[in-house]
Amino acid sequence: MCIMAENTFNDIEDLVKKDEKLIDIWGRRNPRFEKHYEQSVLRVISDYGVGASGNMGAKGKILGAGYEPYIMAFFIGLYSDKKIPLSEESDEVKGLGQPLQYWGNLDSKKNRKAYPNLRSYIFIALVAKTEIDWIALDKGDIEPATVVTALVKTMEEYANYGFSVMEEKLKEDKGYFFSNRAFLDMFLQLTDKTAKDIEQEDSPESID
Amino acid sequence: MIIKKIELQNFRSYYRDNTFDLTDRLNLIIGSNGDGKTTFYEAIYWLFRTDGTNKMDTKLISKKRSEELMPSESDDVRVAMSYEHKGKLKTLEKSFRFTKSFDGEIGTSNYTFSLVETNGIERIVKDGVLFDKDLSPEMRKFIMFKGETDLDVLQNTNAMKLLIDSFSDVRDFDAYFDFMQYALDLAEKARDNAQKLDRKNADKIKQLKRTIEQEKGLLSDIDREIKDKENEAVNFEGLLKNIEKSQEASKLLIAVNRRIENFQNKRIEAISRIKEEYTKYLLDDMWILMGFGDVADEYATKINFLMHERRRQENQYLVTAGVEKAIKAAERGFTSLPAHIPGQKIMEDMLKQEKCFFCGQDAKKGSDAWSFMHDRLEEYKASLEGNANEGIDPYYSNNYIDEIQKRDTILNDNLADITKIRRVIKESINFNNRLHDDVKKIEANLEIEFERKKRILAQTDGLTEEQLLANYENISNWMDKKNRAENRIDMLKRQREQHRANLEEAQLALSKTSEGTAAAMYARTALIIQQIANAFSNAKEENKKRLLSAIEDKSNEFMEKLNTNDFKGTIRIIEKQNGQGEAFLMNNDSVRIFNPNTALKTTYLMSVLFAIGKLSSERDNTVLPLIFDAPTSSFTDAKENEFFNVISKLEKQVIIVTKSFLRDGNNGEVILDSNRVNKINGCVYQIEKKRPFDDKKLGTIQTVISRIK
Repeated sequence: MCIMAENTFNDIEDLVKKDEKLIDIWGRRNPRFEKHYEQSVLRVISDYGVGASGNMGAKGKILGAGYEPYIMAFFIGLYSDKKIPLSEESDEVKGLGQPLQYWGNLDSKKNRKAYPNLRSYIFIALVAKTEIDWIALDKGDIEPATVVTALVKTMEEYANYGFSVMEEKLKEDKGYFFSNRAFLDMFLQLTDKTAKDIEQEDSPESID
Repeated sequence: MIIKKIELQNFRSYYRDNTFDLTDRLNLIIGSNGDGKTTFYEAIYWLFRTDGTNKMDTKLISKKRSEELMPSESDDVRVAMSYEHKGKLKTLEKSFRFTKSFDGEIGTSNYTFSLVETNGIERIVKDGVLFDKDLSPEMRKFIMFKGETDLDVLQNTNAMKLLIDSFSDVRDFDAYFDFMQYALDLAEKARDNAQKLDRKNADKIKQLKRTIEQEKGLLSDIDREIKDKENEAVNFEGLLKNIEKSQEASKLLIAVNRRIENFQNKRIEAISRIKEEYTKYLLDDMWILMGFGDVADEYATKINFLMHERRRQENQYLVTAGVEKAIKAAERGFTSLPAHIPGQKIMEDMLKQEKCFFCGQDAKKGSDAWSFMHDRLEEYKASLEGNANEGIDPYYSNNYIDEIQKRDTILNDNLADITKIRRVIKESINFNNRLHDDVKKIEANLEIEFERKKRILAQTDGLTEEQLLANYENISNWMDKKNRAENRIDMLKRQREQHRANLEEAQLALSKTSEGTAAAMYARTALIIQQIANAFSNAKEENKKRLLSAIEDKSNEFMEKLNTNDFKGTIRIIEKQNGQGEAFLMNNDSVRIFNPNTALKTTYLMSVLFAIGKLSSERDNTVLPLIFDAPTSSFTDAKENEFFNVISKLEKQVIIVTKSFLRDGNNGEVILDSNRVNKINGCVYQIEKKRPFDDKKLGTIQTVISRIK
């Protein structure tokens, strides 16, 4: 039998439904990264590229699926508010392989929790940080796909910066991210402004 | 036996001829290390050997003498002891010849071992092995002691038996025993034969005999079991005695192990409470949103602007379209609706729930607020209808801004939680740091306990931890078994009494059944012989007990003298179930002292030896000297003075080689303490290395002896 099973195709009509949410279109995207980070970052700190085996612990990796270092990289870029455009050479970039809509779903790792809600925040951040003519979108002058492409591009550029930071750290110290505090301290530092706010909150009010 | 003289010739450091004339009381031979004290002791030991071993050992030859020999020249190694024994003068002499060959080798020959008896002018030379008759090899264990550890003679397997045999009349009983058994057999046979004729009492006799057989069988079983149980009790007592020393260490070790386990559990517990997989929490608990406040603000600003802009442009479009109705509706409706009110659906929900979602206040149906919202909604609907009715195309074909606006509302609600993340992180880090501190403290405590454990194990005479722990478990177990064995012995002994009585009764009855018959005389004779045999048996036991109690009493007398101003305890001497003896110290509360200090141990064991010696001399058959090599090394000066004082008053020949009475001079030389020596009542020799000597060349060493007193 050489007839393909019907359900191996996506339901085109369903995908182009008029009331489809923008985030759903975004969710089908596979953000890209520069290939060289695969060896220098992704494979070093995550199970990226080792298949769906659930033995992160056995390999001593800090992170599970490849999207986890991607999220880290993205937030580093976001909080630093620094972007680096991806290489324009198509053979120097590749898609992560896991569409955004699955990021943070319960994975098979032991002692881990699912965090699908984080996707909404990433999306919100992209909307906040991307210049888009939303009026034109609502008027139908530009396609949702174009908007989503712009959003994904922002994401890729933030992550690209994040990866460069991570790569730099790993160059100095191969085991840098094996410390429990490495990522935490990095984020605490990047978002230090808020920390100062908390400290001010904590201090007793002046009597004057 | 009194030793009169000891002669050493070319025996190791004793070069050429050396003679010690001895008194029948205390004889001291004082020398420093390497001066020849132990050589003196060993010369006597060599002389006393009658087993033919170690005859001509070249190591015994004086190095100095052998080195100065010319080729083919010879000399003798000779040790001789003159002594008086049972009124006779004798000389025990052992010697061999050593000759230097032309190539400088030393060869030995002409071994002689002789016992010379002098009777007036007559000299009778006998084989040296006959010395065993004057001093048996077993008895030598009771007279020669090297150091302080040799003194515990009673622990020797057959020492007790030897002691009892030598010093009590027990041995004499054995011949009587044999005879009585023989006589009893004959008498019983005669009785049985006579009773066979007694037809009248045949049944009764038969039954009594059966009873007698039965009782005898039972008694023999009981005796056997008593013996077994006695052995068992002795065995467990021995085990307990060994363990006793380590009992305290065992207890300490168990306590330490318990504390270690406790700390280890606490450590595990504290570590398990440490939650610091922060990288994981960044994602799983979305701590990564810790800086999202700014992004959220930016988003809200953008959304606000877009909403306004979207409405503004739509309104403008409608105005431009010139539709009056639509304009009016737009003016009334849209412009007065707050920009962020999303639309018809939410308005309908608010009316339904009678609540304003934006200010949070109730708006009961019929109230002004509710009516206001209701009117607005109606106007809005009407305006839309108006628009539709007028056939104007909608300005927007999509509603994506609405989608992203809805997110803003929810994001706003979550913002409070997002700003809390930093506090949560801070608390979590503090919490974990406290736990780390706790773990560090626990580990410090653990370290202390491990040190304690090491110290305990280092001081337990090579016992391993497992052995110590096993010992502890064994103590109660063995104690139990020992007590059970002893209880059983008590019970068996009571049973034995009963059965003995039964047996006696049956034997008596048997003898009575024959009364008035021809068998009567035989029966009575058998009974009397039986009773005599029993009396002998009891007498033997009594005799043994008397001897042990006499030794015990005497020992305590000596102990009193040797430890005048010191703790001494009470010496007890017992015969153990297996026939071995044991001397030990007891506190006044009848508790056994297991680990007396060395000086105390030496004095109580010596007291026992003196007591044995004293008793033997009182019996006037075997007066034996005592020869000690360095018996007082654990004594203080004061104790030593007391000790020698007591010994000098003993009516007993004692020969002691010692380095007591010597002290170091200012220039490293050794000085004899003449004051102390003068207080000694007895004969004193000093032995020294002849000066000068080369401390690298044995051939220059020579012991010189000088009599001081």
